[in-house]
Amino acid sequence: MLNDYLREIANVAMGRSSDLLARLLGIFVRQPIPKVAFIASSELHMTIAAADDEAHYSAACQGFTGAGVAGEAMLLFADSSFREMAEMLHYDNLDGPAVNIEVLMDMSSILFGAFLKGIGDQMDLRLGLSHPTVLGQHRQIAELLDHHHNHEQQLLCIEITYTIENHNIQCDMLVLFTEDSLPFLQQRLQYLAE
Amino acid sequence: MPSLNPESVSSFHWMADMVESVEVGLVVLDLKFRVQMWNGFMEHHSGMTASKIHNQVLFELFPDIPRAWLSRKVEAVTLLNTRAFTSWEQRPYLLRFRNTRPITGTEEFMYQNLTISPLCGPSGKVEKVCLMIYDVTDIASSKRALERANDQLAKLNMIDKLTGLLNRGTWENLLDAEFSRHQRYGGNSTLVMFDIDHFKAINDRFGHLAGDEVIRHTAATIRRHLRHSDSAGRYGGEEFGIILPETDTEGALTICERILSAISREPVTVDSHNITYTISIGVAPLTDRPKNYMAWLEQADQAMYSAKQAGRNQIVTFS
Repeated sequence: MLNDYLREIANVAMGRSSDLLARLLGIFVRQPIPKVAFIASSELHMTIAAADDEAHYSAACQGFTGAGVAGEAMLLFADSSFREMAEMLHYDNLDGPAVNIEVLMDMSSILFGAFLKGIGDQMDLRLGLSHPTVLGQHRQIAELLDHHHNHEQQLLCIEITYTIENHNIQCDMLVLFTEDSLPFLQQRLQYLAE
Repeated sequence: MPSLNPESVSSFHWMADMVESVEVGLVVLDLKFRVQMWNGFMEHHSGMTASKIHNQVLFELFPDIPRAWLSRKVEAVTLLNTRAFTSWEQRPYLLRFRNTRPITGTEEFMYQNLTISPLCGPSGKVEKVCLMIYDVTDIASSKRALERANDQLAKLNMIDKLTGLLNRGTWENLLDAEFSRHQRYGGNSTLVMFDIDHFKAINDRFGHLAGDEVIRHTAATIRRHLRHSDSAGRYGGEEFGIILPETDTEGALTICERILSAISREPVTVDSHNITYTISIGVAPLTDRPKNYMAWLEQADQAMYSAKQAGRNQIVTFS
């Protein structure tokens, strides 16, 4: 029930963020279908590891908070996609580790910003965003998330995979809500459904 | 526009006061990059007052600001009406503010995180942007210090403490790598093993500190005679190994003779004792015979024992 409403809201928010991305880059972004599921925080690294496929990923995270709702968004970017992405963003310099950080920061600013604004607008809440952090680069995902799996709480997770047609670019966005946010979300979504 | 009542006038005052005094740099720019607001933090660190730079173009005031980079971010912020964030890791600072703390400041300039936020007019269209500049010098400098410490630890792990040469593990890895390289690409490669003659007698007669000094002296002598591409390691107590890449037997013998004669000629002085000592050297040019680096090492070792048996202070080539 909660999942269905949230998926609906995520769909709208995502439509908005991929539209922005398409406008900024002047390209077509395929509309992905968001997955909504409850996961234990210890499962977090398994969920992401499933998307691993032996590839190397880099990740950026950004916390968000708003009246009663809090969580963190994570963008996982395949290292092999960096160069092409930098090209599409019209960077002057296309190589080197600083460019990867630049791509991660830019993409997370755009995707998180637009998506969370979309969620907030629909639920009538204003979400504050903390400064994003770049997690360790060029490391296996499981290693990346190792320190996450000590805390036991139920997290509500929205997962979206963006693919850009005709380009070797793929990134995964995860939006995780804390356990404490759930009663508030439930209340808000119920209200919207009526 | 509704007129302000006295209460909202006063709240406007204290809000402006907060914006002025908050320890975050706040700059409002119009879409042509003209400065519309410049708070206290910016005044203090840049040395430029708000009144002086009002309505001036940021890039003209600060020519060092990466113009294309900032313009691109501001364009995205205006187009998408979302915030953009940059971290000190991608660019250490937007404006170069020098270190202001003579005692606790260890960095030359202030590391900054930057947030670019869209500001909408009454119509809902983005008309201005706000730059928020955070001082993250403390975070950056401790993170960099940690990285330096880790690098140093990694290096210490590779080095033999007494001699400063490579330790056994690291040196053996290099030997293995050289062996594999030779198997694939061929060429000349020579391994040298040597040992200090009668080292136990030196220890017994002059003490362990003198023994250490002799080992240190040996290492220093080798280092003086080697080329940049050669790798010397301390293999055991008084046993050393040298990998000579791209070197045939003749070349290796030239180097070894120099080391042998330098060591036998220069006494080590410890507590007014002049200790004269010698070494025995085994040389093993790499052929197709050894199946792995350990077998190659064994050949050099055998040659070294032959040198010992033949009376020490000499060089024997494995054949």
